[in-house]
Amino acid sequence: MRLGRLDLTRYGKFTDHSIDFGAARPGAPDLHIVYGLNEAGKSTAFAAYLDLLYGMGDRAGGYNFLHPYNTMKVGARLEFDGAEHELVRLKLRAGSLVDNRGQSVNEALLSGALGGIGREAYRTMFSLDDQSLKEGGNAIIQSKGELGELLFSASSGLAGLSRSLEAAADESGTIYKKRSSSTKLAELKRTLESLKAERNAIDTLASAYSTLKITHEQADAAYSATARELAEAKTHHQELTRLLGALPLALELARLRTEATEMGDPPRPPAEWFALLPQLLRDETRLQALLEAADRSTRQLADEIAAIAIDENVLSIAAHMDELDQGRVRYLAAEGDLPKRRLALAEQEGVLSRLLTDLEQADHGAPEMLLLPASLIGIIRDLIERHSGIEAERVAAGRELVRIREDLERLNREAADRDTAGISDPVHLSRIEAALNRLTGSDLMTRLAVEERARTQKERTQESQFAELAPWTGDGEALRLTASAEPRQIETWRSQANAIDKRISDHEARLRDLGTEQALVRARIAVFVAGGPIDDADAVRLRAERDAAWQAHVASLDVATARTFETWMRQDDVLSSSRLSRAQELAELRQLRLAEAAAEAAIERQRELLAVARVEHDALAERVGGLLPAPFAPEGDALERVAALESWSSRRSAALATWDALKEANDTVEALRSELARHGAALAISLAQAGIDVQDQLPVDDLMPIASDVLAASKVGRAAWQAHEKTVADLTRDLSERERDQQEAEDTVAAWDRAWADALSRTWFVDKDGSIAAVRAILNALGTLPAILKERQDLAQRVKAMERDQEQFRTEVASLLAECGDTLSAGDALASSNALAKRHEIATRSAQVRADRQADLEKQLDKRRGLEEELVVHNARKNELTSHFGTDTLAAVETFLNQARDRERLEARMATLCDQIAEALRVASFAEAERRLSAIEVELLERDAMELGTRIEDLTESAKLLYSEMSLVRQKLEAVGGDDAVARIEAKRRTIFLEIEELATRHLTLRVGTLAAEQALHIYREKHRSSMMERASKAFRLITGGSYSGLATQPDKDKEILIGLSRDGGSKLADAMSTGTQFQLYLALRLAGYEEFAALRPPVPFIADDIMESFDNPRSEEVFRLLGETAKAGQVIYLTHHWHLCEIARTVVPGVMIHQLP
Amino acid sequence: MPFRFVHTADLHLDSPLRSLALRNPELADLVGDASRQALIAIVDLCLEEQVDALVIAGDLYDGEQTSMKTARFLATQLERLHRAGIHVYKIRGNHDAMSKIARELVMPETVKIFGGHAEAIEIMKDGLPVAIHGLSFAKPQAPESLLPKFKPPVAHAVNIGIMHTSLAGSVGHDVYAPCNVLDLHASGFDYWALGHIHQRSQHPGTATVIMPGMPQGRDINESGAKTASLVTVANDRTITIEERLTSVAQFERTDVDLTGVSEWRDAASAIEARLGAQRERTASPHLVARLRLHGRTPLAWQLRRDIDLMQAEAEQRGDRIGRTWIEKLELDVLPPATSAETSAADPVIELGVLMRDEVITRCGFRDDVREMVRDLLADLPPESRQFAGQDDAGLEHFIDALLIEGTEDIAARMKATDRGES
Repeated sequence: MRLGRLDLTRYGKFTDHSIDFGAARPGAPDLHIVYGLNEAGKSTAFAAYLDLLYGMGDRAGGYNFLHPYNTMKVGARLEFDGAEHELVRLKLRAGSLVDNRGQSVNEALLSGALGGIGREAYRTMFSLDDQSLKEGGNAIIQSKGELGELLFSASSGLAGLSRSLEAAADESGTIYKKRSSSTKLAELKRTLESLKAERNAIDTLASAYSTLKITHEQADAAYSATARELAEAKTHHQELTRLLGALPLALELARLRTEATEMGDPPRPPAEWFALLPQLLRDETRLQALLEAADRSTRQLADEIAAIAIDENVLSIAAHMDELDQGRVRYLAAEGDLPKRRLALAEQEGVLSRLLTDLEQADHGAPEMLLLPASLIGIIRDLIERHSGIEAERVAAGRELVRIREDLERLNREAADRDTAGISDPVHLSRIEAALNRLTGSDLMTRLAVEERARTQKERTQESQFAELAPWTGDGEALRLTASAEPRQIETWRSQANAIDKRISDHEARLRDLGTEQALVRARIAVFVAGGPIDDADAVRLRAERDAAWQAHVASLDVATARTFETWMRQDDVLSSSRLSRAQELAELRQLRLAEAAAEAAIERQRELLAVARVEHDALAERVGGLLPAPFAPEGDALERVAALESWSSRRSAALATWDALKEANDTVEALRSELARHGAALAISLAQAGIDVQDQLPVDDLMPIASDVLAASKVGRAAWQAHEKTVADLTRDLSERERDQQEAEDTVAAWDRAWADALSRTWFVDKDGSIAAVRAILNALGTLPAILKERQDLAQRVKAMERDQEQFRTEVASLLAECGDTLSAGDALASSNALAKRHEIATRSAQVRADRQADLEKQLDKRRGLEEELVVHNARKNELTSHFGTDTLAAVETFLNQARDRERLEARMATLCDQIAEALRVASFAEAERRLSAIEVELLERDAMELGTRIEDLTESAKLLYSEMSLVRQKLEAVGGDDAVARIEAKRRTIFLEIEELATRHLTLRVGTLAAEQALHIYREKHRSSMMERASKAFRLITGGSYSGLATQPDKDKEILIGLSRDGGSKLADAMSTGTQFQLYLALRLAGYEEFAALRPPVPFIADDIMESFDNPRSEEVFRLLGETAKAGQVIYLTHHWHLCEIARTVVPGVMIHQLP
Repeated sequence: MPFRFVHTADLHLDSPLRSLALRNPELADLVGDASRQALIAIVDLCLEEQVDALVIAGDLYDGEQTSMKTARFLATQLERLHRAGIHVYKIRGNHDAMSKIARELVMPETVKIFGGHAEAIEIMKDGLPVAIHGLSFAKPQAPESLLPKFKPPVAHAVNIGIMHTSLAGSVGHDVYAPCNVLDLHASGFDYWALGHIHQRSQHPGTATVIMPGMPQGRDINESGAKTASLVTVANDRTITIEERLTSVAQFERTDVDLTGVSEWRDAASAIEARLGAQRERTASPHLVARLRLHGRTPLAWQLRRDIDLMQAEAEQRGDRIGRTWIEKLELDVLPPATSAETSAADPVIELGVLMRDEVITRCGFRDDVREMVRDLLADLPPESRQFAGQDDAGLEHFIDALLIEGTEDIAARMKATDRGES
């Protein structure tokens, strides 16, 4: 297949661009270079070509930035099967391949032409770029030069073949390796083992379970038997113990029986008597004592009652005693108060008569008549209060009026005196102001100061810069005339000087090396020569001598010549044999001679080159030195001179710069000064126009204060006059107001006088209307009169009431005394009433005491009657007891009762013993028990019991042991449990078995695969080696520029290794070559692979993308020559952005076509 | 009140599941005791439905089980039935006959285990006479039919026969009491409770003949939902059968067609869609799927190389669907026909052809591979050797497959590595 034209209709950055590769020219290489700068779209064009062949994928490689996916379009003219095909590729899911008429084309058309090679395969097989070249180089190392792999990866473009084979082998190794314990399978096997152990630890097998069950049954039986025996022994032992326990009881019973017989049978009293007797004994004593005490009390009380006497008269008036008490209290109060009240009344009368005197009414019979109505008093008081205010107002108004009139007069006088001169014309004033403002408003002064300071600075800088130029002297203009050089030019000279220096030192070094080499070669030659004459020259010389001797001998044929000839011939033979035996040395000697000659030639050449370089150096130094100005003397080598020139140039330009800056500063200062002077003149003129006399040419600084003063003075004068006029107007307005105020005050005073006369006419002191003070005093005195009158009346009433109370009390006391029959003590009412009260109290108390005693007596009598009744009952019981025992005292009864009680106790104890014995022997009746006890032999019994005790201990121990045995087994049985622990372990193991199967299969698959691939690669090698090796060998020779004469192979175990043959006859393993050579080897192999492909089937275009980035020009030439060769087999397209490559290609392959991308 | 019972067989208690999916500890935790969960489900069913009896037609144990824990677990479950007054009628199958644990266990008195001689138990349920016949395997194998040894059907009673049999014609099961279905129908029994075959089947005819299948499948060859039968014998002697789900995990093969799929992501989505559909069809709580990818796809090489990645992808999708687990991915994909090997222009294809036609056909190569396989097998535990075939013919078959797979795999690696990544 051949690409005739590629139409980048809408693809990536391209719109309607075509690359026309033209028709194939028979016999000429079909080599094309597509040239475009970076980003011109070389990769895009390649991608478009692949998309044309294989369709635009889902993502279309991200080439949609200009044209959207659905509009992308690539077309081409393809030549295959002897025909031309115009094809177009669209971005469609189906039917994306169409012809130039838009008719859908079957994809099989293309896939047939491509020989079934897929997109990726095309990319790896028929395209090459820098990256894949590098990877190819690496592949050579990884394959260790194995020929089959190299041929395969060169044909397929698959660089990672060895890597994937190795990865597969490694993977199989991690799964399983014989006798390795770190593989996955080994690990799984260990897991199986540990699971098995785990299972054994927790599981109980059926067989073990049945053993356990039998053991359990046996242990259970043994334990049951022992337990039963133990129970029997214990029962028997208890029986014996009981019998032994009953014996002491029987002995006691016998003793008690004897006692009972001795005691006989006393009478038996009712049981309650035992409790009754002590009660009776106590009652007998108690009742007698109580009766005696009661009689004594009764008598004593009767005596007391008879002794009490009572005052009956006083008791009869008890109802009046309260009234008497109250009367006495009032009497006592009046007695204390009355004198004080009478005195107060007299004082009050005095106060009244003094007041009347004050009012000039001393003997007025009815002072009440002097009181005035409250409303009238109010009116008069109000008038008095208002009077002083009204009067004050009238006086003030008058005073104000006078003051204002005086002020007005004074101002009018001042106005007449005012100075009317000194006020400037406002027009002049504004002109002066404007001129002044222009001066003060601008920043001219400031700027001038700043610029002058800057200028001084620049002067100093300029001086120091010029000083730097020493020894050169002169001003700026002179300096500008001196010669100088551009920095760029200096840089060029420096690099030239450097280059020349480097060359000189290189040549010198080379000369030294060559000298050393020459000496070495000569020394080695000397060694060989010293070892005897084997030199060619010696041989030739000897042979010539020999031949000459032979000629001489032939001529004369005598003995002498024969001898001579023989001698020479011997020498020649010796030399020949020596040369023969030292053939190796001879060869080497020849080599050394050659080397010697070569070294000499090289030394000569180096010397020439050195001389040339030195001349160049001197020329450069001369040229640079000439550029330095006069006082400087050129000295040193070229580099030093360049440095000096550079230093001078930089200082010169710095000095010139400061010179220019200073000039500029001077100009600025001058400009500022002239402008300032112009403004000063304008101000002076304006002042003169306003009539202010100023001197001519007065400096601006002096003019400014004069103008300011003039302006300030004018402003002050005008302000004063305005103030005066305003004051006069204000005062005139005030005057009229004051006059109105005074009139109003006069009216108010008249009204008050009328009201005053009217009010006083309604009082008894109308004659006092002339004096406000008199009226005010009368009113004040009159104010106290009502209170005095009331106080006098109250006091008189109270004295009268007290005197009435005293009289009433005396009457009451007298009547009561009469009632009590007391006629003697009626003198003092108060003392009599006190005595009466005392008598009444004593009588009441005595009556109370007698009533209490009477009640006590009644109680005592009741008590005695109760005691008598109790005594009767007591005697009846006593008789009952004494008569029963036939005695008459209770003490005797007590003795009888004690005897009866002892007897009862004895009998009870005996009954208890009988019961206990019967119970101990477990028989129904005591009689039965007694019979059995009598049959017992005590000592025998005790021995049996001891023996039985020991046996019980033994049995208990062994029962314990048996029980623990049995329960241990039972626990084991129960511990088996129904949990799923074992089942789960089994499940895990089952899974691991499956995992092992899977891993084993995987391992085998990988092993078989790698094995098969390796063998297939051997076959591949055999199939392709002859044709490819020849091509690759040739290509390699070309690319390496003859450093290698070709390629060969060398067997290595079951492999075959690729080696490079170097020019000098040596050989080098492919993986031992330098990296660059490996790239070249890979390139050679790839091109051979392509030619192999093209030789067997119709070729497809081969695309190379700037693979010569790192190649020098001679290498690039060789590669293009090679590509030109390859291009005879099929179309080769080379993409590049280096124009020089295009030129190289054109020289090497004249027929190359160069296409330029926009 | 009719007579009701649950019929099951082939529980193979504590026989582990055989699936690589159980490498996932989460799943192992959930279904590691699946056979026990199935038994619990059956006992639960009996209690919920308040049936009169549970009929177990043999192979309650797996012959290999030796742990008494298994027996104790069984005893606990039967104890539950005993307390509820539900009778158990059980015969021994070929596996039970091998079992060592069965002998050691004491069963409650409501459990009837038929012996090696035919017996018939007659009971009366609300006026309906029922006769239950049973006969156990005395030895692990029984080459002759057991049917003639059964007692004749009891007159006027409903006759239920319990038998462990491979039935006639069941391939590979011939020594397990073969018996003709027609004979069963002609026997005069009303219901035949069979066991032994792990796949459920019902055989229509005069009698009701049920092979209930196992209640929990153990591997992909025992796929599908597993059930027990709930049988109701009405007073008029009509018999109704209901299937009740017992399996906790269900194995299923799922095919995924990748024809025309060119993106890895789309392939994963196709797998997820198929898994989702399968999950919906799956009745059991857990689905364990074996995926088979087929069809022509440009991803063929990449899938072959990166099958591990796709398996992880599928597992993740299954996780997303929920209770869906991946056992294995099987590959049956081919590259698209357009890039077929019409020409050996591509060196990779050329190399593949060399391997297929020249390398693996060589006798010496095959011998080497055989040696390699044998060496490896010798180093594996005996339980893990079956994958390479049971006998010599099986081994050769395995080697055939190995040669094809090995060369395909390595070709995929070579093809996909550099080209795919460059």
